[in-house]
Amino acid sequence: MASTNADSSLDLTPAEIDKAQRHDANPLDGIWIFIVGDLFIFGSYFVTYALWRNWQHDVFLSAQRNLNLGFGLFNTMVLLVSSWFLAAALKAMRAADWDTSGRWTLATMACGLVFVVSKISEWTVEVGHGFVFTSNMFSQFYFWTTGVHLLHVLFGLLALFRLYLEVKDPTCRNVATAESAAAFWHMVDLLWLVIFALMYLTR
Amino acid sequence: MQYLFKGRIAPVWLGLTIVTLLSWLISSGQDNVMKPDLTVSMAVVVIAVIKARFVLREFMEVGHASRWLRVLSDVWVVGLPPAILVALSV
Amino acid sequence: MSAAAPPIPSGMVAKARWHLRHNPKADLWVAWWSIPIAYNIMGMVYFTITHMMPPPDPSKSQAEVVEFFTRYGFEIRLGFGVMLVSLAFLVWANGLIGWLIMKMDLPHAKAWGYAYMLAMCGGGFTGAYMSAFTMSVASLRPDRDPAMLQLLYDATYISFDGTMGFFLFGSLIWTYAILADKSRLFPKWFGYTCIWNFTTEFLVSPAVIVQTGPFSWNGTIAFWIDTIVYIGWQVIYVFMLYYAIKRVDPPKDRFRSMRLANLPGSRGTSVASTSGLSPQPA
Repeated sequence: MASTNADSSLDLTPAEIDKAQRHDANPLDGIWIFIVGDLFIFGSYFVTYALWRNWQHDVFLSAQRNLNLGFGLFNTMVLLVSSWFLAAALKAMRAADWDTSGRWTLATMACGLVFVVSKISEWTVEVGHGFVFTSNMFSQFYFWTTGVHLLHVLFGLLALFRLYLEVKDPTCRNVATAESAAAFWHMVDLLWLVIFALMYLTR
Repeated sequence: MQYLFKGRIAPVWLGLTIVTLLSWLISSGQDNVMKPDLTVSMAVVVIAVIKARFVLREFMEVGHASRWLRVLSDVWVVGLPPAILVALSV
Repeated sequence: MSAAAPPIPSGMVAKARWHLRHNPKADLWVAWWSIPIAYNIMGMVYFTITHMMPPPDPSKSQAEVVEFFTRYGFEIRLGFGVMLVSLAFLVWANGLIGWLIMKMDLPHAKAWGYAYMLAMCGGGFTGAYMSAFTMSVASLRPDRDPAMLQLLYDATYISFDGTMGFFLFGSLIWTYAILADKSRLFPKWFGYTCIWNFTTEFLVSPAVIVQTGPFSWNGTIAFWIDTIVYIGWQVIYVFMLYYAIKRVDPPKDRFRSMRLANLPGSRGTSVASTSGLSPQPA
């Protein structure tokens, strides 16, 4: 795969060819710029949420009763455990213990799936009680933010699945891909920590 | 199993879990009565952001990354709580 | 640039003429310049002439809507007059990006290039043309039934936000192409910034559901954060296209193939070998 990058029609310098080859070794290279951007975009949502919370404090407080703290706490724990498992998978990878690494990646994905199922059941319960997107300003923020976050979880699961396939395949396994995919997954966890605090715990 | 306890990841995970439970206790200490309380709100936000920094440094390994990344992630960590505090109290 | 080309003369007009004659990428550069020009015209029309942006309150009463169209009637017609003429300029930009996607080293590059251009056409039509029509129509006769004006007012902003699907999938195609492209025409990190753009397209979706708050069409999240991210991305995008044009191989002997295509009986020989078309059976 690497040799196809030295496409003479592109007229690249040797340094550029070398760079392209290194980039190609990691399909997720450059993900950090996305992660930082995402952190700041989410940061701007969090500040917007805080502003509206301030303006409609009573509405937000009474609407928060519709949330189930148990679900919130469980989801946070699940993501924290998943991050731990993934960190272990990376340690195994660095020790070139690919089989163990694959197992921990699968365990991480299992945690991610538990999160998805738990989040969807939480929404189902809330919608069943008549708490929906258009109920009030808090519910708009709540469904919106957790929805966008769930989308990130799904993308993260895809990235982990890809990582798992690579770990299984001796010809294309590499630690750099794993680091990028892991960074994305940990960001999903990190954002949830703040979302959990803002949506469930603020008073 | 050995990799779960290799390096600092296990104590970091344990710390994050304990702190999560702690912030839950701070918030729902008053029998789930929804009383407005800026101190509690800010406490849980600050705890969350500190947890976020541990995730950034210990799991995402930002500490070994290039300078712009370290600086920007710390700008986020240090900047978010004051921004939220201002938004919650203006 | 062919080896026989004379040196670049000084003087703006002479230089431009030289580039049009001898620079094999001259057409690409013209297409590239259409992007900053067209977006600046659009920005000016939306923000300063017509007062369409920042968007007014979605929950305006009928009387307020009538007031809006009466007050800005002339500016709206003037601005959209300018825009309806100049907007199609962006067709060149989309052609440029579509062509660059086709030049990438990825499976089915041509299909993705066409799909991208179609998505952009769809988005441009719903977002820019439909909203320009409804705004102009409403401001043409502000003495119409207020309910009709309100209908046109809502239609304007809903169609403006209704671009999201097209732009979302357009960006998704571009992101995929950049990340999958083995020739690395665009840097990978730029592909990841395209994800911001399609995420923000997704963000406007609640604007069709709610009328007030940060998720409505004039809200902090659905409009302001979205627009700031979009404009920031747009600046990066123009620069990235600049470098991509620098790096892409020039269209092979543009002038020769153009001349040959005009000669009777020349199809299937030189044109086929320079443009990649398969030779036609004799």
